Amino acid sequence: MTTHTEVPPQRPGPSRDPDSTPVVSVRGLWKVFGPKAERVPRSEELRGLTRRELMDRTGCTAAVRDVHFDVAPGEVFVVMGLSGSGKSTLVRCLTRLIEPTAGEVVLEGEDISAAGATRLRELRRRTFSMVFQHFGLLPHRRVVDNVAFGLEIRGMSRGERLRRAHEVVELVGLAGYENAYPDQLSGGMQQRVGLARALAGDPDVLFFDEPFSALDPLIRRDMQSEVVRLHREVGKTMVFITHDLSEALKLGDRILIMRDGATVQCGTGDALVGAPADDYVREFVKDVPRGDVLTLRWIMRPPQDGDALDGPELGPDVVVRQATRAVLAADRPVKVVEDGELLGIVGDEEILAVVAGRDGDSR
Amino acid sequence: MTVALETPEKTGDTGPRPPARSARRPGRPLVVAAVLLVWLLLFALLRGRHTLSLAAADLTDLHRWFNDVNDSIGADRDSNPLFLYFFNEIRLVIDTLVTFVQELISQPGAGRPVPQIGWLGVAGIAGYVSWAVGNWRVALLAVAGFTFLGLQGLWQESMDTLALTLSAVSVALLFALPLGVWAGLSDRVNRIVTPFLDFMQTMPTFVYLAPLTLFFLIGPASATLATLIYAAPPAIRITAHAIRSVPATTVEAADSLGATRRQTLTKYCCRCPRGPWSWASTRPSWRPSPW
Repeated sequence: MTTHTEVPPQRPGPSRDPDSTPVVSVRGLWKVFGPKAERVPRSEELRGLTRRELMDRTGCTAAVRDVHFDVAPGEVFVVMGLSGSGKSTLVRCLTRLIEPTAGEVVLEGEDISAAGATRLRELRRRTFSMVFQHFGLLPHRRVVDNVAFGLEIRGMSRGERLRRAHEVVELVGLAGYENAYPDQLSGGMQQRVGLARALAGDPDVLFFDEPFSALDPLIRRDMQSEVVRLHREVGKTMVFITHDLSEALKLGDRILIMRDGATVQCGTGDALVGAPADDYVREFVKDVPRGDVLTLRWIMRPPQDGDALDGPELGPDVVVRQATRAVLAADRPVKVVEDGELLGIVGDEEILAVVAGRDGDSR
Repeated sequence: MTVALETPEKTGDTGPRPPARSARRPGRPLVVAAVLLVWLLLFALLRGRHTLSLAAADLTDLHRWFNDVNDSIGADRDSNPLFLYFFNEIRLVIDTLVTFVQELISQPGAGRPVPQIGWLGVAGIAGYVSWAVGNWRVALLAVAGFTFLGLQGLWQESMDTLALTLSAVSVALLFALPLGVWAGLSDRVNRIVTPFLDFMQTMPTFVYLAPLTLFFLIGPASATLATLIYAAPPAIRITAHAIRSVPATTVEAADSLGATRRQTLTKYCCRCPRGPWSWASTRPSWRPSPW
């Protein structure tokens, strides 16, 4: 897995209103490859089989099994899993580049599995777009023409689409390379073109299919920051596929971990680290520097008799690393307070348990 | 990309695979045995019939039958609707085309003592086109080649051949390009077309020249069609190959942007700076193009 893990301080997430209608809503999504695939999601018995058993019984491979999730407006939703976990198939089902076998995908209130070919094309042109791992650029077109391709398909006039393309090229930091051909650019720059192409049509939702996996680590980090910046600037809803936990933690407001096509756990980064659902997730998050991800909420303890309650106050969503100095500097435990209510206290011991590991804890 | 298609992780116990079509397909020994059997059977049946050596003037039933066919075709040529509306039309169109090109570069016609474009014109055009498509070295070679033909005293014959070839190639492309695109898009069409192309390319032209003259008479039409049969396969293959070599990810990206199939084809697959053939030809270029 990833040995170098670098997690920035928690970004303020989007103002997620629990009542707001989700932009993407996935219900009971299945994708089965193989002969007579439709029977698998329908049969109670076949649904329960493991991948291996299903393969032996029916010759089918269940790539995505009964996945549910909602993505709120403006959220960055990360789907994470190792190769073969079905995450790329999942994101293709969302745009119907692969037809789902069962389940529904509701995009802004519209069930896209019911959309006809024309409507689907219309949605792809205007509502969502995708960034691919291998870029998928046209080698014989200049950067601006690649970026303008989606607009051209819509039938936008040449002058107008080139103007828009120049804007977006500027936005992704490729100004000056408008007239280059894709193979004259480095991998990172090519992916910027892919990103610009996806942004050009001003879609509501962006899908990323492991966009930075083909890039080297330094460029990858640049591109991740680029996505964070773009997200801040344009505020699109994003669904991001990755196999890299540090990338998931860096970008994702919420993370869904997949294994063998099924959801293992879905939650915020600190929830995955603080309360892994099972050993698989625990193994996954083992190498994450916990102090960078966990917030005080996860390490505070209820105040007991004898605790001094006149220490400094901090919010529950402060990351441990940021709180470390404050807690260690104070001679009394720090109070974790939200909306004037005392949630718990954090002392030196709790901080040290995270930062240095507990006694006898062989991390 | 298609992670889902990977086989599951554990491959310890290899369960019984669903019998693929290998079970249905007969094994190699069986095929060989069948061929041998048919061969022996034919030997037994045909032994002593139509297989003995003939004197030069001897005629067998087969010869007579062929003669009859030839005669009936000759008699029907101007009455049978198949000829009136099909073979003769094709002959007419191709003859017209070839005559047109010939008058352009090789034969005097239309009240002129010389063709429309003389030797200087032909060499000049060839030089210019070579320079425009290739470079000055190719142009030099082309001009030198044409000059050489003239100096050898073979200008007339060369131009007749060139006219024939040009006509054949242009007619071939008319069919080959759409067929190639189709074969590029559909695996099934590709599988069906491939053996025919193999046959067309490997058979010597004379093999189909004889039947062609039967239907199209001796003349430019037969010659053009014979050349066409030879010229079409590479064009079909290269077009299909070019379509196939467009990376799947690129096509997927076009799909994801909402391109129709036609848009994908025309904008993604056919928009190359130098036309469809340069995609697959090993063109030395400053850009290592995957097309």
